[in-house]
Amino acid sequence: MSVFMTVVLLVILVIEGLILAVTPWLIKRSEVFAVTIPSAEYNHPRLRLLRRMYVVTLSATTVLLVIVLIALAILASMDDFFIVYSIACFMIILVAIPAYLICRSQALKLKATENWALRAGDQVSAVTSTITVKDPPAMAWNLLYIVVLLITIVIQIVLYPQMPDQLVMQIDLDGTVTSTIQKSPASMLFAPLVQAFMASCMVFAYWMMCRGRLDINPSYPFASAHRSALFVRIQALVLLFFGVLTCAAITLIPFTFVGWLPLQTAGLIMMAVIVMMLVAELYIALKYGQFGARLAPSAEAESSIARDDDRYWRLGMFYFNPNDPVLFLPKRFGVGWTSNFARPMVWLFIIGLVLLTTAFVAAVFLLV
Amino acid sequence: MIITIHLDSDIPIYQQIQNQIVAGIAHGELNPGELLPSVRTLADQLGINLHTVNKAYSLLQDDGYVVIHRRAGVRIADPEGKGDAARTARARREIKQALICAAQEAVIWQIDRSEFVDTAAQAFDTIGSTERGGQQ
Repeated sequence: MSVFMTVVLLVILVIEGLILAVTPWLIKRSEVFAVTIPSAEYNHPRLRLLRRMYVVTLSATTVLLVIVLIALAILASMDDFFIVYSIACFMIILVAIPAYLICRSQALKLKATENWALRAGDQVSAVTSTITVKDPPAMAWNLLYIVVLLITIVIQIVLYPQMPDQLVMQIDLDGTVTSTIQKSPASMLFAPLVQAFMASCMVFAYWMMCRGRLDINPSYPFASAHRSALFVRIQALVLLFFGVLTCAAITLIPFTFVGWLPLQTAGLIMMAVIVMMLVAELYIALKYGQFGARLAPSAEAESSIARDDDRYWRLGMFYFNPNDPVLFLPKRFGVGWTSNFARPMVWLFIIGLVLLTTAFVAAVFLLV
Repeated sequence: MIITIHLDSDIPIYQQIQNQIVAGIAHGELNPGELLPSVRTLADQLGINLHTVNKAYSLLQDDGYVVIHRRAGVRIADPEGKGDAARTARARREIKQALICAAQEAVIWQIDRSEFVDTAAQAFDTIGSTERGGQQ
């Protein structure tokens, strides 16, 4: 059991490192390390070197951390392993950020010396109808979360009489019970609360995907619009499917209370669902790339830049454009979305999410 | 259909949007009754001010090319509406005025009559083919 869990955790770490390491190949050819370049210059020898340096640095870091962790798993205690594991997850990011920033500054220098910004145009494109590109499934599908929530409440009502006085909340890796709570109607709020919080986050993410800007290249508008829309649609479907599945897995909690299902098994099932979602996201990232970038034929190479947005991207990571009404848009270096931090609404959402999380943590703390 | 805006152009953005939608209708890429993106969606996608898109759509409605419903969105106007005698008469006047201005400029820059007529004929002929006459 311990071995299985250790392997799963290490695999997750490897996936994290892998995804970060191959990021330069997941994004469109007109951007390197969040710097806009003419896509025909993608294979410039200096840029190829930068990409190679980046992937080697991150891969080496990941491999090193995995070796250290395996050694700890064999020679040291589980507690030590977990502490170092948590640090390792952050270590990868702490190495990735400076590596990315260094590569980015090199790319900017190259752009200046090669005068690529000189002939940059200033075009943007939009698609007029959903007949041209397909929208993600309607927001209404997210009502499934409510269905799952109601099912949980019904199950808890039905099983309540059979539940013991002390409900098992936590067990450690050996199976010994470490935390219980007194059975009461209030204690039945725990599972629905977790589901409600998770569902809120998922639904917000779904809404963000629907509201987000598509990545359309004015030089190849139809092809890029199609790829973009395909990516958004697939991400939305994966989020909806696994989001509902994860919430449904929480329904197992009342079954663990009555002892029909050991808590370890419920935990393993949850872990399995999360790993499946991770694998699905990995597949999307590797097959489609950022907004379908990996589906673009290399023939779509331009010798000049259609639109140079560099000035709005602080450090290439944070989009800040007060003249742009958009709230959510594609990330520059990575797979997924980011926000336009010049919009006050975005900050309202951030504060709202922080408050929601705080409220959730407080509520769980009071219950458990 | 794709709308492409040149942010560095002399032609104002709202006018570029207008021109492209009119061209789209003329070339049959936008069909009567077809729904256009909402003001917010188009503004988001193009990264331009909502008022600019609003202005373009309002002017298109005034000229009879689209109909704006508050809830149902912006739709391409139906051809039956174009039978409205007053609207057609106004369109006729405006097109005639545009041609008069173009002719005056042609005279100033010594572009001869046959070239002017040929250009006008060509512009008319490209509609119905898949070509687009360099619209911005």
